[in-house]
Formats: sequence, C-alpha cells, structure tokens
Amino acid sequence: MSNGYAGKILVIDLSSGEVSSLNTADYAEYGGGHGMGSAVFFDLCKDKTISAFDPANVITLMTGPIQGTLAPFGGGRCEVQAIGPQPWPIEWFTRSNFGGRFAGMIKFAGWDGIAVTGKAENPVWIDIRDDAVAIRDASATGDGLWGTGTYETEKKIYDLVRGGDSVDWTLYGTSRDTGRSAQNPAVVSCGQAGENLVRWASLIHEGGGGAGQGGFGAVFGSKNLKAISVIGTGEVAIADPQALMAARAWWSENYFDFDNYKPSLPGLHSYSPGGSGNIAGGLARGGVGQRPQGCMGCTKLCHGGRGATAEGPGSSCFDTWYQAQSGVKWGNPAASASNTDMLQSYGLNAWEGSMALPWLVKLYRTGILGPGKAIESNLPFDAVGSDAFNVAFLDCIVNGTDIGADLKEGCARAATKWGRYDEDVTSGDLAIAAHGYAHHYDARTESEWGFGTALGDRDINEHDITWVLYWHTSLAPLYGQPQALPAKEMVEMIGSTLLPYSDPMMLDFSDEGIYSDAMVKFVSWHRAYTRFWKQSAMYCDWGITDWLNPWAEGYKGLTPELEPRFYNAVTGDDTSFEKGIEIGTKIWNLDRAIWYLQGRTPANDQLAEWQFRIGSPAAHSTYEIPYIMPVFENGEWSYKNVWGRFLDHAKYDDFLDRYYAFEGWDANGCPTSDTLKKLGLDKAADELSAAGKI
Amino acid sequence: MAPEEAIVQTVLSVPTEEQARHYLQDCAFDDRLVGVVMKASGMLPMDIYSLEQTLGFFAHDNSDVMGRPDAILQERRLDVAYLAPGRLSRWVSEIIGDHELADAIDAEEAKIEDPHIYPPRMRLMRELVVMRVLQCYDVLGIDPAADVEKTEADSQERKEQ
Amino acid sequence: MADIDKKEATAQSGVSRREFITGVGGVGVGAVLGGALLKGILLPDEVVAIPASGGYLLVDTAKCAGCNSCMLACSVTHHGTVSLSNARIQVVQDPFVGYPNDITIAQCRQCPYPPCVDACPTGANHVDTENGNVRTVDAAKCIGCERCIQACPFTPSRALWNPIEKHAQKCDLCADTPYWDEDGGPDGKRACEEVCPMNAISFTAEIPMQSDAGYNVNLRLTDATAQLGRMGLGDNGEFTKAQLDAAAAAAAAAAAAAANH
Repeated sequence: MSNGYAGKILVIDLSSGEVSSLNTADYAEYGGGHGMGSAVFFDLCKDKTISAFDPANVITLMTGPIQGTLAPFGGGRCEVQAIGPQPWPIEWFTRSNFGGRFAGMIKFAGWDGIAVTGKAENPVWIDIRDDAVAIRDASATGDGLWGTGTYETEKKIYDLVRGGDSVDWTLYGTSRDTGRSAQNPAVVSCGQAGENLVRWASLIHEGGGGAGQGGFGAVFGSKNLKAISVIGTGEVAIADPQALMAARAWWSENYFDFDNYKPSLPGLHSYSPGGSGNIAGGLARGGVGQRPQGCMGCTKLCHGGRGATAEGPGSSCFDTWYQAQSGVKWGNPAASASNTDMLQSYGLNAWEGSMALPWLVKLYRTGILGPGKAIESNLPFDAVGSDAFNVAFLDCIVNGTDIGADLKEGCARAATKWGRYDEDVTSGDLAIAAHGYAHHYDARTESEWGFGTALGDRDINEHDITWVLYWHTSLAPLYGQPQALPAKEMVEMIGSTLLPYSDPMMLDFSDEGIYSDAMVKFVSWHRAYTRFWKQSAMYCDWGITDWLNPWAEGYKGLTPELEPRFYNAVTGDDTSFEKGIEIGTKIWNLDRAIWYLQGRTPANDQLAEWQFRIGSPAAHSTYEIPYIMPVFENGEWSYKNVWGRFLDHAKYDDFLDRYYAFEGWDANGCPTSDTLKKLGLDKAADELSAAGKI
Repeated sequence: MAPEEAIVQTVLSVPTEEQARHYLQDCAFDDRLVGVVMKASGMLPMDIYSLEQTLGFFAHDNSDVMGRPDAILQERRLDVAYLAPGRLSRWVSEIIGDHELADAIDAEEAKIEDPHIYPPRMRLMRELVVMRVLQCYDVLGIDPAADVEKTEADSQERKEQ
Repeated sequence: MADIDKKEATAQSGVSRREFITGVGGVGVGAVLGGALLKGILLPDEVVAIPASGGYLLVDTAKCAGCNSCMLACSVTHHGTVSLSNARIQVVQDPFVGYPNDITIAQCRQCPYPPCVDACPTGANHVDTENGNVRTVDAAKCIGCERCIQACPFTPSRALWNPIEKHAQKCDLCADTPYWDEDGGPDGKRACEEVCPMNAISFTAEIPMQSDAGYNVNLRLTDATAQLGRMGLGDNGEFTKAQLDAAAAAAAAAAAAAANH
C-alpha cells in the first residue's frame, strides 16, 4: 500500500473470537477514516436494518494517512462509526471522533483501523500489541475492568500491559527483534453508562478525549466490550519526509508561536495559543500550575490541560460545564472538576445531559415533574444546580433509576414516552435540533449547520463557518472593533477556496440567501469537504478550514493549500483539494445510501418544529444574541444580525427538493442508481435496488 | 494592571424588609429571563428566575479580563454572558417589580456611548444588581458568605415569609 | 575499551589531557570543571579523555504538552518514517497523575563521560568528532550486542534498539538526518526542537550540570507563556510568589470594590 498507511484493517468477531484482517488497499479510493469506515461497514454489516444493540452491528475505529504524523491538527484523530443508539427515531449509521494517542498508536501497531462485530459471551477487552491481538477477560473475576469507570479502566490496563514497569522499555514479544516501547498503551473504553446501555454513552480516551455523540459507549457495552488497548512499536512510511518537514515549518511561520504571543482576532477562539482547552473550558482545577495538552503531532494543543490534582485530565469545553444550564445558582466553577470527572468516568455525552437539564427544570417548575406529579421523580430538584443534584442526576441515568430509566434512552425517546415530545419540541423547551440531537449552532441563522445536520445523521459539529462568519463577525463589534475584513472582501476571500465552485454567493446568509441555489451548493460542498478532508484524510475540525488567519498577510487562511500539502507529503499522492471534494461527495452518497437502507424518508430531513416557529421565545425569555453574518441584500454585501428569524416550512421543503436534484437524488431524497454508479458505488446501487428503494 | 474600578455612580435607596423579600423572590417559569452565555463551543441559554440568579449568570462572563496578567490565576477565559440592551431593566421592572433598579440600569446604560460594546454594559448591570442584592441581604440579615449553594428550598422559604 | 582503540582514538582526535581541560571544542574550562562528575578529575596521561559534546538538549517537562511531535520528527528525519519506538527522545505520559509528574521526557544527555560509548566493543557507538563530538551509533559497525543499551545509566535507556533496521541508535542531535533538508547537528538544527509547538526543548553548547535539574530546565520564561498556557513560572510549574501575590491583590481589590457598594 502507498505511504501513510499500515496496510491492514483489523477485524474482530467477538461472537466467534475470530481475529482476521482486511487489506486497506481494497478501500484506497476513500482515502481513510470515515470513507473507509463507511465502506467497511457496508461490506461487513449485511443487514442495515438491524438495531444498534444487535450483535451484528459493526463498530469501526479508523485512521487516515495523516494520523501519527506531523500534520498539524490531524495527527491524533480517530473516526468511530456504527449504527448508533442515540439517533432518533431511526438509529442512524453515525459517526463520532476522538483525539489523543489512539489513532497514531494503532498505525504503529500495523493497523489502519479496527472493526469489531459480534458480541462476547462475557465482558472482554481487546489487547493489541502490534500484530498480537488478544481478547481478554474484563469481568470482575478476570482483569476486573467491567463495572469500573473509564479512568480506572485505563489505569488498570496501563499496569496490565506494561507488567507493572511504567518507566523502562517494555519488550512486546519474545525475541530481540520484536518491538519495544517506553510508551503507555493507548486505551479507549466505555464507562458504566456504556455497560448499562445508556443510549448516549460515550467512549473515553485519556480522560478528556471522547467520541461523545452517537452512543458508541453503549455499542461497546452491547458487545460486552469494555475497552480496546493498543501498543504499536512499528513504523509507517512517509512518502516525502523532507516535504513533510518543510510543510510543518511552513505551517509554523503562518500560525502562532506559544512563546511569542501574537493576538488572535476577536472571537476566533480556536486560534488562541493552547486552543480551546485553555479558553473555552475554564476548568478550575485544584492545586497550582497546569499544562495545555495536545493530540499526537498537533500544534494547537487544545485538549483541556492537566493540573496538579489530576482532576479533569484533558477535559475542556462542554464536558466541563454541561450542567451549567441546570440552574444559574451554579456559577461556581470550582464545582465543575468533580462533575467533569464523574461525567467522563461514567462515559456520558455532555450534550445530551446539557439539553436534558433545562427541560427537566422547566417540567419541575411548572409542576409536571416531581414527587407525586404526572412524571414521578424524587430527584432533588429543590437543589438543582448543586453538586448534590448533579450526582443524583448522573447516577439515576447510569443506573436506570427514577426518571433515569427513561432518560437513559435519550431525551427524544423519554419525551415521546412521557407524551411531551410534540409540545416541548414545538415550544423549544426541549431544544432538539434534528434526529433527537441537541441544538448546537443555530439552524435559523447559520443554515449550513442546521441543514447539514438535518440531511445527515447527527448534529454536524463542523465549525468552519461558525468561527469566522459568526464568532468573529459577532464578537468584534461587541468589543468595539471592526471585523477583520469588510463583508464583500471576506466572502470573496473565503469564496475563492470553495473549489470547484469558488462562488462567494454561497456565503449569503440573508433571509433569501439561506434558501437559495447558492446555499444548496454550499451545503453540498460542506458535506463533501467535511466527509473527506475532515473525517477521512483526516484533519481536526478545530484546525481546518483555515479561512481567516490572524497572522497571515491580508488574513488569508491556509485553506485550500494546507489540506493537500500534508496529505500528499505523507502519501505521495497527487490529490488536489478539488479531488478531495469529489471523494467527499462519494462518501456522502455512500452514507446516504446506507441511511436509505435503514429506512430513511424525506421526513427524516426535517428540523424540529420550534425552529420554524420562534426566533426568540415569548415573554421575557429573550435568548437574543448578536449573530452577525454576511448578507447580500439590495445588490451589496454587508454584515447583519440575523438573530430573531425562524425558518419557513414551504421554503425549506423547496430547498430540500432543489438540494436533492443538485446531488442527483430522486424526489424522495435517495441517491439514484445513476448517481451511485457514476461515483463508483455500484454495490450500494445494487443493494438499494434489491431493497426496493430505487 | 489596575483591578476593575466601579463604574456606576448611582446609589440605590435601601429597601424595606418587605421590598427586600419581594426583590429576592423567584419568578414563575413563564416570567423567566433567558440570557445566553456565549462560549467558544456554543451558546448556552440560561434560565434566570431571580436577581441572585442573574449574578450567577453574570459569573460566567469574563469579557473584562482580557489582557489582565492575573487572568491566568482566575482560571477564566473569554466568555460573554449576554443580555440584549434594555432586556434586563424591563424584566426587573415588570417581573421583579424593582422599578428603582430598572430605572438605574436604563440611566446608566444611556450614558454609554456605544451600547453595542458589551464589557462596560455588562459591568454596570452587574454592579447595580450586586448593589441591590447586597442591600437586601443586609436588610434581611442574610450572611452572603454563609450559604454558597443556595437552594430552591431557601428561595421558597423566603417567598413564604 | 581495548588499549589499541584508545591509542587510535588519541591519534585521530589529537586530544590530550591538557587540551581537554583547557577547552577543546569551544567548551569553556569552567563549564567542564563545573560539572559534578568531572570536578577534580585528573586524568593519567595514558587515559584518553573523551571530548565533550558540542551540544545538549534541554527540556522543560512542566511546559511540554505531550503532543509527541518531537518523537515523530526524530523518526521522520532519521528514518523517513513515523514511529514512537524509533524515536531517540521519549515523552511518556500518564494523564491520571498530577502535573507536572504526568509527563516525563527522556532525552539523551550527551554524557561528558558516555557509558554507552565506553561499553561498545566495536566502536559503533562512538564520539563523532566531525559533528561536534556527538555520541552516536555507526549502524554499519553495530553487532547488536546491546551493551550500550544496558550501559545507559538512565531509564528508559537513551540508546535504543531499532528492530526494523537491526541496530542500536541514539540521539545524535540530528547530525545524520538524511530525510531532512536542514543541516542538523550541534552546529545546525535539531528536528525535535524545531517542531515543538511549546518551545519546550532547547539547546545549549555548555555542558549542563550533571543532574536532573541540569537537563530539565525552566523554559517558561515569559508572562505571555504563563498567561496563555495557565502555567506557573516556577521551576516545578508552580505559580511563583509574584504571580500569587498579584492574583491575591487583584482578588482583594475586586472584593473591596464590591464591598464599596
């Protein structure tokens, strides 16, 4: 196989105990990561209509060629895919992604990815040491991992794999020429939440790395799989090492230097030295002193930091303040370290919990939920916002007690069971965006986020527009500063990178613009870009796109030069940026085909109702913020606060029709046989045809 | 760098006990104020039911610490606890019923040259609400340091007094 | 080391006791004699003095962010591949241990008296006098006895076994980096130092104090570093008294301002 790849994909069947492999070369056309994961899933999971907890579900953890290399914001990412228990009402084949050391380590072990299917009879963990793969007993009478939290599991595995010697070179194998490593194994595990099949259970790595959304922790749990541990002592070839080093030096010249602080632009949070971990998390760790911490090979170092008390290692962002919305009495950040550790150790998705809390508080305050109420609960809602409440809340979910028995199924399912879905999702009190996923960035304003979410399987969590054309453009005026560029120059600069279209009109977020043909093009482009460059090649969402670079001349970012530069230095390929968009389009269509095999219809492309009803909630619930985006109105570009509008059903449905046509999908939104075959997805076309979908 | 200095000149009149109890109460669900904490990883709408909770909301804001050398030890980074102009005063007037506080907020906001610039507006809102809450504590004999985690039960109790 | 090798080495390098003590290779007398190991050593004439390395890597484990870029760069520039096990600098981390003990960095110290060089029976592990006296392994001469790996007094040993190419190897300060367009070595650049995003690796030509503190130094030198990284400026990553005093003063002032209302 060409450079940048280990050459084999590990396949483990936990039902039979069989360990086998696939050739990465057979999936070369997808680049890596998500594309390979979708294709491997397609091949290994014969019946796409099974449920997430069916033993035949296949979970993949895939790397791309730049993992384990010096590509900035990319070296550490690992793409996780499977039929996910979290999406609603259909358990979509979905994705998540986590950083750290795992992806690099599996490549050094000789694997480009891992696919696990089947279900073990008793709790197990997978112990990978280069090409030696063992399925070990994780039960209480075995290695004692099952029933413990993720932190405990990782610590125990360090000890088990290193044989108690955590300092010296450890020989893996028996001869001189088998590998040695001084490293700790890279471990990913589920916590008790996953063991207990909480539909929004996460996978955790090194405390703060997490595949949070999708419920992959519960997929592990459903397979009686506690953890996967990897030691890799080998190497992966780089096609052009000199070019890789030169690319890294080029990057350094155009980005920040930790010791020579160059101010970022207002609102470009992800560009602060130390990235988000040091700016968005704000975790108040005990003791004094802490360090930023980063994924393998990365230069942004946003993994939340580590402090003297080892609280919340590597955690930042939502993991550290998911419970803030449960009650503003909790304004005490000192409480968050223990809450963070509890969440991460249990292995729970912070987003779902964060959406649940204000909804539950509303139900409590309006007398619908509580002791003796229509929704019976004895949780201490009188202490909501306190640590005591948070402990009770997380415990009841993990253990399935009190309302936890329903909440562990996710808010959408719980609300449906309680007969509250329609009312609360229309009012927005339960802020689901689509597919049962929590509202994140806003569909009414930033349409590429909302529409991309609706057309897919989950909240997209792809921050390209968000940083530049929402955060920067909105925060700058809050601090009395102008945006870095006037609107016209900004959209022309960014528009030029939207290859192959290069059309600035794709960035028109006006009331008409969000439904325009140009927005159809942009949503299509964004799906393809993220599927390939972010999730397959694969670069971190926190690093690319680099559109507005505070330290480059004219603020011109490194996209579209950066993406192919490292990719090709590693692989020796000649993959252009546009070629990446083509591959991304193929991957997007493959995913869409899988969703149709799962039973998708156009109804699943809808957004939750409140987004069509309200700009801001009524009465004194203002929920107003500056959401300043570029708009093309009256023949000219300007920045405008688009907060307060809501979507229109007729216009959105019309947008969908035009989007389907643009993608080469039929009127039901399913990729046509022609489209699939043109993309080389003949197998998908055949399977859809056999299932009567096309 | 000098620590933040008080920016409001207004001095609120000391409330009566009855007023103090009234000003500190929780409002009903439909009367709540919703502010938004703008964090780098998303916007976080917060339901605010009382003046005390307004302070809890403001506690998330650190937009004024940018560039301060001691920011590191305050473990905080750039978050904005945002309320649109005029919203707080309207809620304070119509729901909390503290017209003096509401008028003071409006008057101080009017002095700001550009209301779109947030840090000075945030500070004046916070200073005025702090002033009122501390006055109420004083009048009612509540020790502000005593109970860090005030509970719903406390608020209910005060309401019933 | 066999007598004959010593004599050959002497002839090659021309280093005598006098030249060594008075500063061969630009190393100052004070630095040489200041090193604890060398203090008061008087070498008999027939013992060959090993010239000190022209350079040393210094690291700051309290500043490191554990990204492993140094390790990957080491492997890329020396072997054209990415690997952690092949890296001649090792960063090991345990996220569940409190800072700053969650990260250890094992860089070669270019020992003034290198046991690995001494242990090598073939001269494979040697002092490269053409490249600033770095201690390095000539792979062609390595017979795989691993005595150098055993001889390294540090754990993990700084000399390591390359099972793919089947020879020992160690940090050579990038003197021999065929896969890098930059000039390496003590007089050039070091790849790990170049790629470190935290500037947690630095280089010196002066022999460090021969102790942990000599090689694990405080590179958190500026307020900007401290502020942005939320790092203490103290030697162990702790906040300095000045930082704590400033924070206390700010907190007191804020409390006073609030109380004035």
